[in-house]
Amino acid sequence: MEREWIREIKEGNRQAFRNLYDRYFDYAIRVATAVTHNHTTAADVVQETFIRIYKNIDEYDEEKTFQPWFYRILINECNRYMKKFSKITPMDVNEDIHLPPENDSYQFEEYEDLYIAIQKLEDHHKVPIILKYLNDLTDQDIADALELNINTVKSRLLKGKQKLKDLITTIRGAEG
Amino acid sequence: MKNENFDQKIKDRLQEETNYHPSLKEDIWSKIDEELEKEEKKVVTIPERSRKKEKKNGWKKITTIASIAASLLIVLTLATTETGSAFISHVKDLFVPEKVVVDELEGMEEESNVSLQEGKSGYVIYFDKEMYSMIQVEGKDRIIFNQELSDMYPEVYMEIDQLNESPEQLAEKTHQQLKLEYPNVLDIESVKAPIESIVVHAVGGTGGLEWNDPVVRYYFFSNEKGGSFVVKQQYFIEASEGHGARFDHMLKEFYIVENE
Repeated sequence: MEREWIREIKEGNRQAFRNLYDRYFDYAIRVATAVTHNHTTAADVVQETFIRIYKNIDEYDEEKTFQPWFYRILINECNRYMKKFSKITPMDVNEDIHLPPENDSYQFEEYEDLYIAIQKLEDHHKVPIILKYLNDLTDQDIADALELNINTVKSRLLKGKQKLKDLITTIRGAEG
Repeated sequence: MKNENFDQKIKDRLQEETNYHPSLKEDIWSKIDEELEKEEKKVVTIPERSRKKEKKNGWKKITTIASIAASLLIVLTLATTETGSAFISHVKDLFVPEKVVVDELEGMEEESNVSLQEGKSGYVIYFDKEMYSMIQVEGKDRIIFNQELSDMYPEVYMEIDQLNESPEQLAEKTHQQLKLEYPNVLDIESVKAPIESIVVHAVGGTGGLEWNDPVVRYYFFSNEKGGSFVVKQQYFIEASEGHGARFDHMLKEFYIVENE
């Protein structure tokens, strides 16, 4: 169905484009919101992303999966807007810090701090985590979207999660 | 925190924090629809080059366009005749030395005073000399940004050269070469604007995720003598809509002439 829409979009069919929009809007707005950490910017990013998709649909290679191409454009737009309109300073994390012991007691504060911690991750850890957990993208899809080697993606996801746990501990420490 | 539990918490938290108002979807669609309508009308009614020039500067622009059109007509006519080549060097004199152009940059109209610059390899080009200059690097014409950028910024320039191979051959060769050096190399593409040509585009560094990933964009087009003009643009992701767009605007004002 999606392939058919794309063929029709290439012929200028706006209804097919609307179908594609319906399918991807929710993913797009959530990813853009999480990556930019700003609802207004996210709306602009999504608008621009879909316009770019429509205008550049001829560049999409139908032999390949659509999702990675779509997310690549979306993430590039997020980066462009963030550089243009905001300064996000990632928190320095000491990579040598010992991880907190794993246990089942998941407290409310930790849950609240989780999103703050995600936002404090550096982009190369944050983006794969957002794509994986928000959209259930496979590691291979993430690798294709970010044009990375799959092992790099696996390593960034693992390290990103470790850093998240670190950050939660740091944030909670700072909160006293 | 067990991993399974932690994974689920990340998922839930991301979902919660990215909820949006139900009306947002239709609001954004309306803007997209409106934008595409506007674009399509522009494409259908007015050609790109005249569209931008018709907006401002009344008679001055009209005379500029008329003189360029006359110059081009003479170039095309004379270039096809034996006797024509004897006169063709004077054609450059028919290009106005300065003019005002209006281009779109990052969604905003920008008006610039551009000046005629004669390249060493049989062409003339207009660009804003307050912002850019032409120098020679290893025998090639290079247009550089007048302001010196700190080391944190990758190189920014546009280089123009002429080679004795066809645009297709050069594009293929360059494409293969870039594939070895750059993580993100787009397929070879034919474009009508900013100049009818074959384009090869590549992004280095992380392949487009970082603001300072270097970008190279090549345009290959015939020099009307069996060879090709090769235009290489070099900038970085964040500068795509600044320097990148300005370089493209310069190419709209690129004209082949015969060397004296």
